[in-house]
Amino acid sequence: MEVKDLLKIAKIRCITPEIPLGKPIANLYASDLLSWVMGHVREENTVLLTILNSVNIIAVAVLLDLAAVIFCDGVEPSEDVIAKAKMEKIPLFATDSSSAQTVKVIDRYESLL
Amino acid sequence: MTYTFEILPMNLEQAGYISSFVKRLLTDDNISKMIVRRVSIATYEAEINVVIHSYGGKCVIDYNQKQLKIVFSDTGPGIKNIDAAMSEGFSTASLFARENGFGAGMGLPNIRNSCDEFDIQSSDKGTILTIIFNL
Repeated sequence: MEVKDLLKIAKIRCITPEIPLGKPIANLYASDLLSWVMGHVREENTVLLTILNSVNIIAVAVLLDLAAVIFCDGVEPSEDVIAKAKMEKIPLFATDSSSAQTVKVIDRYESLL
Repeated sequence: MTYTFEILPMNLEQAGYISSFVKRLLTDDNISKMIVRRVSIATYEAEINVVIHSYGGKCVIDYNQKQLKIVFSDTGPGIKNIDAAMSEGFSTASLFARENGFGAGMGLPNIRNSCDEFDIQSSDKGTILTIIFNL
Protein backbone atom coordinates (compact mmCIF):
# COMPACT_ATOMS: atom_id res chain seq x y z
CA MET A 1 0.00 0.00 0.00
CA GLU A 2 1.23 3.48 -0.85
CA VAL A 3 0.47 6.86 0.69
CA LYS A 4 -1.60 7.81 -2.37
CA ASP A 5 -3.96 4.91 -1.62
CA LEU A 6 -5.11 6.84 1.45
CA LEU A 7 -6.90 9.16 -1.00
CA LYS A 8 -9.25 6.30 -1.87
CA ILE A 9 -10.48 5.99 1.71
CA ALA A 10 -13.58 8.18 2.00
CA LYS A 11 -13.12 9.16 5.63
CA ILE A 12 -9.56 10.43 5.14
CA ARG A 13 -8.88 13.69 3.32
CA CYS A 14 -5.57 15.04 2.08
CA ILE A 15 -4.54 18.47 3.37
CA THR A 16 -1.40 18.88 1.26
CA PRO A 17 -2.33 17.72 -2.26
CA GLU A 18 0.76 19.42 -3.70
CA ILE A 19 3.13 17.05 -1.89
CA PRO A 20 4.04 13.81 -3.76
CA LEU A 21 2.31 10.72 -2.35
CA GLY A 22 4.45 8.00 -3.91
CA LYS A 23 6.03 6.54 -0.76
CA PRO A 24 5.11 3.02 0.31
CA ILE A 25 3.47 2.56 3.72
CA ALA A 26 5.63 0.23 5.81
CA ASN A 27 3.62 0.46 9.02
CA LEU A 28 1.12 2.49 11.06
CA TYR A 29 1.76 4.02 14.49
CA ALA A 30 -0.66 5.95 16.69
CA SER A 31 0.56 8.18 19.53
CA ASP A 32 0.34 11.74 20.85
CA LEU A 33 3.60 11.71 22.80
CA LEU A 34 6.58 12.68 20.68
CA SER A 35 9.28 10.93 22.68
CA TRP A 36 7.18 7.80 22.59
CA VAL A 37 7.04 8.09 18.81
CA MET A 38 10.81 8.71 18.68
CA GLY A 39 11.52 5.66 20.83
CA HIS A 40 9.07 3.23 19.27
CA VAL A 41 8.76 3.83 15.53
CA ARG A 42 11.25 1.34 14.10
CA GLU A 43 10.64 1.49 10.36
CA GLU A 44 11.00 4.33 7.91
CA ASN A 45 7.87 5.07 5.84
CA THR A 46 5.64 4.56 8.86
CA VAL A 47 2.39 6.58 8.86
CA LEU A 48 1.75 8.39 12.15
CA LEU A 49 -1.80 8.87 13.47
CA THR A 50 -2.10 11.60 16.08
CA ILE A 51 -4.18 14.40 17.55
CA LEU A 52 -1.09 16.47 18.34
CA ASN A 53 -1.31 19.70 16.37
CA SER A 54 2.27 20.95 16.77
CA VAL A 55 5.11 21.85 14.40
CA ASN A 56 7.24 19.39 16.35
CA ILE A 57 5.25 16.58 14.74
CA ILE A 58 6.81 17.58 11.42
CA ALA A 59 10.32 17.67 12.92
CA VAL A 60 9.79 14.13 14.21
CA ALA A 61 8.36 13.06 10.84
CA VAL A 62 11.49 14.30 9.09
CA LEU A 63 13.90 12.68 11.54
CA LEU A 64 12.14 9.30 11.40
CA ASP A 65 11.47 9.43 7.63
CA LEU A 66 7.73 9.00 8.20
CA ALA A 67 5.63 8.47 5.06
CA ALA A 68 2.74 10.71 6.18
CA VAL A 69 0.88 12.09 9.20
CA ILE A 70 -2.88 11.65 9.71
CA PHE A 71 -4.59 14.03 12.17
CA CYS A 72 -7.47 12.18 13.82
CA ASP A 73 -10.64 13.03 15.77
CA GLY A 74 -11.36 16.14 13.72
CA VAL A 75 -8.08 17.90 14.58
CA GLU A 76 -7.14 20.37 11.86
CA PRO A 77 -3.42 21.13 11.64
CA SER A 78 -2.54 24.79 12.08
CA GLU A 79 -1.14 27.01 9.31
CA ASP A 80 2.33 26.68 10.90
CA VAL A 81 2.16 22.90 10.79
CA ILE A 82 0.94 22.87 7.17
CA ALA A 83 3.65 25.36 6.11
CA LYS A 84 6.40 23.29 7.71
CA ALA A 85 5.00 20.08 6.21
CA LYS A 86 5.06 21.65 2.74
CA MET A 87 8.64 22.80 3.28
CA GLU A 88 9.73 19.33 4.41
CA LYS A 89 7.47 17.48 1.92
CA ILE A 90 5.63 15.47 4.59
CA PRO A 91 2.09 14.65 3.33
CA LEU A 92 -0.67 15.52 5.80
CA PHE A 93 -4.12 13.96 6.04
CA ALA A 94 -7.07 14.50 8.37
CA THR A 95 -10.08 12.52 9.48
CA ASP A 96 -12.99 12.93 11.88
CA SER A 97 -12.53 9.34 13.04
CA SER A 98 -10.42 8.28 16.02
CA SER A 99 -6.92 6.89 15.49
CA ALA A 100 -8.15 3.39 16.41
CA GLN A 101 -11.03 3.58 13.92
CA THR A 102 -8.70 4.94 11.25
CA VAL A 103 -6.22 2.09 11.70
CA LYS A 104 -9.12 -0.36 11.26
CA VAL A 105 -10.30 1.37 8.08
CA ILE A 106 -6.81 1.43 6.56
CA ASP A 107 -6.25 -2.20 7.51
CA ARG A 108 -9.56 -3.20 5.93
CA TYR A 109 -8.69 -1.28 2.75
CA GLU A 110 -5.23 -2.86 2.57
CA SER A 111 -6.71 -6.36 2.84
CA LEU A 112 -8.72 -5.62 -0.32
CA LEU A 113 -5.65 -4.66 -2.35
CA MET B 1 34.94 19.43 11.93
CA THR B 2 33.34 21.28 14.82
CA TYR B 3 29.93 22.93 14.73
CA THR B 4 28.40 25.05 17.49
CA PHE B 5 24.74 25.96 17.94
CA GLU B 6 22.95 28.14 20.44
CA ILE B 7 19.69 26.78 21.88
CA LEU B 8 17.04 29.21 23.09
CA PRO B 9 14.75 28.27 25.99
CA MET B 10 11.06 27.58 25.25
CA ASN B 11 11.59 28.02 21.52
CA LEU B 12 9.81 24.91 20.25
CA GLU B 13 9.69 26.26 16.70
CA GLN B 14 13.47 26.03 16.52
CA ALA B 15 13.68 22.59 18.12
CA GLY B 16 14.65 20.04 15.52
CA TYR B 17 17.04 22.39 13.76
CA ILE B 18 20.22 20.80 15.14
CA SER B 19 19.01 17.22 14.69
CA SER B 20 17.96 17.98 11.11
CA PHE B 21 21.40 19.50 10.48
CA VAL B 22 23.20 16.43 11.86
CA LYS B 23 20.93 14.10 9.92
CA ARG B 24 21.76 15.91 6.67
CA LEU B 25 25.46 15.97 7.51
CA LEU B 26 25.62 12.21 8.06
CA THR B 27 23.29 11.34 5.18
CA ASP B 28 25.43 13.40 2.78
CA ASP B 29 28.46 11.40 3.95
CA ASN B 30 26.67 8.09 3.30
CA ILE B 31 26.65 7.00 6.95
CA SER B 32 24.37 3.97 7.39
CA LYS B 33 20.66 4.67 7.85
CA MET B 34 20.63 2.80 11.14
CA ILE B 35 23.25 5.08 12.65
CA VAL B 36 21.64 8.20 11.19
CA ARG B 37 18.39 7.17 12.82
CA ARG B 38 19.97 6.68 16.24
CA VAL B 39 21.79 9.99 16.01
CA SER B 40 18.58 11.77 14.92
CA ILE B 41 16.60 10.38 17.85
CA ALA B 42 19.25 11.20 20.48
CA THR B 43 19.99 14.66 19.13
CA TYR B 44 16.34 15.63 18.88
CA GLU B 45 15.56 14.47 22.41
CA ALA B 46 18.60 16.30 23.82
CA GLU B 47 17.71 19.44 21.91
CA ILE B 48 14.16 19.31 23.25
CA ASN B 49 15.41 18.81 26.80
CA VAL B 50 17.44 22.02 26.64
CA VAL B 51 14.50 23.89 25.07
CA ILE B 52 11.82 22.79 27.55
CA HIS B 53 13.80 22.42 30.80
CA SER B 54 16.74 24.87 30.82
CA TYR B 55 17.31 28.60 30.69
CA GLY B 56 19.15 28.15 27.39
CA GLY B 57 22.32 26.45 26.28
CA LYS B 58 24.52 25.34 23.45
CA CYS B 59 25.39 22.30 21.43
CA VAL B 60 28.89 21.48 20.18
CA ILE B 61 29.32 18.79 17.56
CA ASP B 62 32.71 17.18 16.90
CA TYR B 63 32.63 15.07 13.80
CA ASN B 64 35.33 12.97 12.19
CA GLN B 65 35.39 9.78 10.15
CA LYS B 66 35.43 7.51 13.18
CA GLN B 67 33.28 9.28 15.72
CA LEU B 68 30.53 11.78 16.29
CA LYS B 69 30.63 13.48 19.68
CA ILE B 70 27.85 15.87 20.69
CA VAL B 71 27.88 17.91 23.88
CA PHE B 72 24.77 19.73 25.09
CA SER B 73 25.40 22.18 27.92
CA ASP B 74 22.84 24.47 29.50
CA THR B 75 22.35 26.85 32.39
CA GLY B 76 20.05 25.77 35.25
CA PRO B 77 17.93 24.58 36.89
CA GLY B 78 19.63 21.18 36.49
CA ILE B 79 18.26 17.71 37.10
CA LYS B 80 17.55 17.06 40.78
CA ASN B 81 17.46 13.28 40.56
CA ILE B 82 19.31 11.87 37.56
CA ASP B 83 18.46 8.25 38.39
CA ALA B 84 14.75 9.07 38.33
CA ALA B 85 15.13 11.09 35.13
CA MET B 86 16.82 8.11 33.49
CA SER B 87 13.88 5.82 34.19
CA GLU B 88 11.20 5.48 31.52
CA GLY B 89 8.01 7.38 32.26
CA PHE B 90 9.48 9.84 34.79
CA SER B 91 8.91 13.44 33.77
CA THR B 92 9.05 16.92 35.26
CA ALA B 93 7.90 18.56 32.02
CA SER B 94 5.75 21.70 32.34
CA LEU B 95 2.17 21.99 31.13
CA PHE B 96 3.51 24.02 28.19
CA ALA B 97 5.81 21.15 27.20
CA ARG B 98 3.08 18.55 27.68
CA GLU B 99 0.62 20.48 25.56
CA ASN B 100 3.17 20.30 22.77
CA GLY B 101 3.49 16.54 22.95
CA PHE B 102 6.49 16.28 25.27
CA GLY B 103 6.72 14.94 28.80
CA ALA B 104 6.39 11.23 28.07
CA GLY B 105 9.39 10.64 30.31
CA MET B 106 11.22 8.94 27.45
CA GLY B 107 13.74 11.64 26.53
CA LEU B 108 16.84 10.54 28.47
CA PRO B 109 16.06 6.79 28.11
CA ASN B 110 15.73 7.28 24.34
CA ILE B 111 19.06 9.12 24.26
CA ARG B 112 20.89 6.49 26.32
CA ASN B 113 19.45 3.68 24.18
CA SER B 114 20.48 5.38 20.95
CA CYS B 115 24.14 6.30 21.56
CA ASP B 116 27.34 4.30 22.11
CA GLU B 117 28.63 6.39 25.02
CA PHE B 118 26.55 8.48 27.39
CA ASP B 119 27.49 10.84 30.20
CA ILE B 120 25.39 13.33 32.10
CA GLN B 121 26.50 15.77 34.79
CA SER B 122 24.05 18.08 36.50
CA SER B 123 23.91 20.64 39.30
CA ASP B 124 21.65 23.57 40.05
CA LYS B 125 23.91 25.62 37.76
CA GLY B 126 23.10 23.51 34.72
CA THR B 127 23.48 20.22 32.90
CA ILE B 128 26.13 18.83 30.56
CA LEU B 129 25.16 15.87 28.41
CA THR B 130 27.80 14.13 26.30
CA ILE B 131 26.83 11.53 23.72
CA ILE B 132 29.19 9.67 21.40
CA PHE B 133 28.46 7.57 18.33
CA ASN B 134 30.97 5.26 16.68
CA LEU B 135 30.72 5.63 12.92
